[in-house]
Amino acid sequence: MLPLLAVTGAGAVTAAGRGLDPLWRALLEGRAFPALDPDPQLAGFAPIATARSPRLDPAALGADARAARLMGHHTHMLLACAGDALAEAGRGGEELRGEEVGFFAGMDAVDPAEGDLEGAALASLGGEGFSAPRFFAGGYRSIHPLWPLAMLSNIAHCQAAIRFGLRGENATFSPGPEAGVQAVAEAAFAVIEGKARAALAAGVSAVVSARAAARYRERGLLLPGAGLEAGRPFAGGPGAVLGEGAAALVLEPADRAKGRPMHGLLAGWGSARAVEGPSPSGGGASAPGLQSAGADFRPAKAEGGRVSLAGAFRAAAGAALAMGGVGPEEVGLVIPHGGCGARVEAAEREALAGLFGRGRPLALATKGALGHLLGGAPVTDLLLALRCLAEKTVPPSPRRGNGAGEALRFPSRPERAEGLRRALVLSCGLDGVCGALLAAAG
Amino acid sequence: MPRKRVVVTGCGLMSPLGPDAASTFAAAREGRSGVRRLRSFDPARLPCQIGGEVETAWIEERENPAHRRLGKFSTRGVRMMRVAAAEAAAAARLGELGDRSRIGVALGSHGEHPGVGDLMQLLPHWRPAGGGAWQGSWDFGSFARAGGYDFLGFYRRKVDVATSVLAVALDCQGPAVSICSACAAGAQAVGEAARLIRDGKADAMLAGGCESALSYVGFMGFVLLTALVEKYESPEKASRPFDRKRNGFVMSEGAGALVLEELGHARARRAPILGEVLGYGDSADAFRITDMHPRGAGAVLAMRGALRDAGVEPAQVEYINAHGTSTPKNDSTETLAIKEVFGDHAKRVPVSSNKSMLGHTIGAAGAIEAILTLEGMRRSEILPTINYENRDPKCDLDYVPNETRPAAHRIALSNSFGFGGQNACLCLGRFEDA
Repeated sequence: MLPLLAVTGAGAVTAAGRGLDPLWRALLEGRAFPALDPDPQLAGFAPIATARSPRLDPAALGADARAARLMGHHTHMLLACAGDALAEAGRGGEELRGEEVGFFAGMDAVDPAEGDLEGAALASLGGEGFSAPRFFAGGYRSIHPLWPLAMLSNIAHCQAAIRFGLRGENATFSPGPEAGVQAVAEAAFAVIEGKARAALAAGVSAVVSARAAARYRERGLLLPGAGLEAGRPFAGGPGAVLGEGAAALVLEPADRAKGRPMHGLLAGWGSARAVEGPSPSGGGASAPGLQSAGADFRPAKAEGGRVSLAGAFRAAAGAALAMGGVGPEEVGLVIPHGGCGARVEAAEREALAGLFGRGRPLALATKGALGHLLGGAPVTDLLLALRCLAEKTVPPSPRRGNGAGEALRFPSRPERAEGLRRALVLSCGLDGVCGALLAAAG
Repeated sequence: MPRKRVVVTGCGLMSPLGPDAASTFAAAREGRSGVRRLRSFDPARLPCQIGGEVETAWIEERENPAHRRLGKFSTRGVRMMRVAAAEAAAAARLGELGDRSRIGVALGSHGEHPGVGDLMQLLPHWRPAGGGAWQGSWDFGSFARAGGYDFLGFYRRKVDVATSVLAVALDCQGPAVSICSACAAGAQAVGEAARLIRDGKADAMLAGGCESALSYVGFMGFVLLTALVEKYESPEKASRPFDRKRNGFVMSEGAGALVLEELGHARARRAPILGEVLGYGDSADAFRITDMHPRGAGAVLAMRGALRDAGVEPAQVEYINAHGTSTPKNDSTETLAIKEVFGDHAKRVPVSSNKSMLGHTIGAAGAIEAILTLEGMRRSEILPTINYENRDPKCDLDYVPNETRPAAHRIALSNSFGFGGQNACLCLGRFEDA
C-alpha cells in the first residue's frame, strides 16, 4: 500500500478565477463558465464556446520584465497556482531549501505565438505583399529571438522553477490529461523515495487560440458549429468546450504534515493505455503495477487480445484502488472524465458500471462548468475531490446530461455526505491513455 | 527488500556518425566528426552553415516497411527513433516477451517545430493597417480558408506522438511516459524508465530520445539565440568542447534507444546484459532560461543525486561523459561543477564530450551518450574529445584529448543539461554479477 502522502498546499486558476475558494463557491452555486467566444481570431470556428480564465499580470506574479517577455498565459497560470500552493504549504511548516523540493509539471500543448512573427511578416513585405525572398534575405531576423524557446513545453516549468527557486527533482511531461496524472505520480515517487522532502505537482491546460481550436477540432475533441451546445458531460457527445486552467498541489509525507492544515491525502494512482488496433503479439494488457499489487482488475480484452478504452479506464481505476488498498465499494465520490465525446463517454460509462455495479457513488462532472482543461484537468479535479471530502459536500454538475445515471449519482444541488472518505478522479487522453487518482480524507 | 537492479539488454542508435550503435561507436573511437555543411536546406545566408545530419538513405533503408502506416505521424526524428528502437528491441530480443503490458516506453522528444511551409502559409496573412510599423493584424479567417491548419501537422507537433508510435510499432502496452525537458530529455527518459522498473511498474522499458530540428526554422531559432558556432576553420573542427577557441555548439540530429530490464527478468530469459543503470539524479538550475547557473548549482545537484541514488562515492567514478556542448559558458561551468562534486578526484577522472564528434543532438543526446558510455565500459575504452587543441585555464581537467584511451572502467556518469535549466545525470555501470 502507498505510504500516506498529504496535500499541504493547493492552487488553481480556472474560469472561476484564481484560487480554489472561488472555484468551490462557483460549483456550489451551480455556475458554468462556457460562453460563446467573440474573439475575431476564432471567427473561422464560430459559433464556438470557450471557458477562458482571467488574464493575469506577470509583474504581480513576481516575474521580471525580461522573463515575462518569454511567457504566455500558460506560464502565468502556472506561476499563479504554483505560488499559491507553495505559499499555503509553507504555512506552519519548516522552511525547505530549494533543492529539497521536487517539481513535476504536466503541460498541455504550447502553441507558437503568432505575435512573435509580426516583425518578420512586416520586414518581408514587398510591393505585392509578403515576399518569401525578402524573408530569407533577412526578414527572418525580425522574429523574436526567444520565439523558438517560448514554444518548448518545458520553458514555463523552468520559469516557475526559477521564480520559486525550486532546484530539486523535476521533469516536464506533455501533453494531455495523462501528463497531469504523470506529474502527480512522479511527485509522489520523489517524496516516497526520499529524493524530495516535498514535491510540487502541476497540470496546465492549453491556451485558447485559433491554433488550439483547430488542433482540437481536427482531433475530434471539439465539434464544428456546436456553439453552446458543446461542453455538456454525458449528454450524448456534443463535443467539448476548450477551457483554460491550471492547478498545483504540494505533496509531503503525512507524518511531516501532522498538526498542519492539509487538504487531504493522495492514496493512489494508475494509468493504462487502450490498444485497439490489431496486435502483432496477441498479448494482453493490464494497468501498470497491477501484478505487483496482487489485485485482479485486468481489463476485459477486446477481440484480438487488445485493450478496449473501457478496459483501460477500468484498469487505471483498478490500479489506483489497489495502490490505496481499497475496493470500489469504499469510494464515495467519483469525478469522472466526462469529456463530452460520445465514444469516450460510452467507454467510461461501461467501465464505471463494471467497477461499481449497483453501488452508484456520488459524482461530480466538472467539464460542464470549466470546459476541458486537458493537461490541467486531473490536478484540478483532484483538488476538487479533496475539497468535497473535506467539506463532506458534493456540488451539482452544471450542464450535465443523464447519460451516466445508471452508474453514478449526480446531485442536482449541493449534497451533504457525512460518510465521504475516498474519491476517485478519472481522466482520458486523446490517444487513449486513461488515468486515475485516488484521494482520501485527511 | 533489496532494490531491484536495472540492466540494459539492448541498444540502438542513429547518429551523424552511423546508422546503428556499432558503426557510431566505431567512428567515434576513431575520432571522426559527423559535422558537415548542411544539405537539407540552403544555409547560405545564415551565420552558421553546418550541422550533424543523418543520411536520409540510412533511415529509408532501415525503416520497417510493415510500419509504413506510422510514417504519416512520424517526424524525421521519430523515423530515426523507430529505426533505433527496432535495433535495440532486436538486440534485447524484446519480441519474445509474451506479456506486452509489462513493457513500457519512456521517451524524450519535442515534436516538430513549425517548418518553413508553416511560416509561408501563415506570414502572407498578416495585414498591414497602414499606420506605421507594427500596425496590423493577422487574418486568421483567410489563413483557415487557405487550408492553414494541417491535421497531420498537429500530430507531428505533439510531444507524445513519438511515444505512441513506438508503443504501437513494438507492441509495448505498459507505462507510457513522454518527457520534454530539452537537452535533458533523453537522459531523463532513461532515468524515469529505470525508476518505473524499480518500482515494479514494468519488467522492461524502451527508453531514449530523438530529435531532428535541422530544418530551416528549427535551425534559425538557435541562430537567433546566437547559441550556434559561427567561427570555424572547417565543419569538422567546429565542435571543440573545453577548447579555448570554442564559440558555440553544432546542432545535430539523431536518436538513441535502450531496452532497460529488471535484472531477474533479464536473467530468466538469458537476455544479453550490456550494462547497468546504477542511479539517476535530476535537478533544476532555477536561475535563468537562457543561461546556466554560473557555478553550475543545478549540475552539482544532479550529479550528487545520481551518485546518492546509485550508492556510489565520488572517488569510485572512473569516467564522466560530459554534457560538453562547446559553448564558452557550458564547458567552464560544467568543469566547475565537476570539481565541486569530485574535489581532488576531479583531476584524476577522465572527462570527455561525445558532442565534439556528434554535435548536439538536443533531446536525443542523453540517450545517445548513455549508449556510448556503456559501450566504452564494455570495451574498456574511453572515447575522446576531438578538436581539443588550445588549453583553456577555466577548463583544467583531463578531457581525453583527441584519441580514444584504452582504460578499464566500471562506473561512469553521463551528464545532460537542458535549455531552461533542467539537468539530468545518469550513473552507469559495467555489469557485474554480484
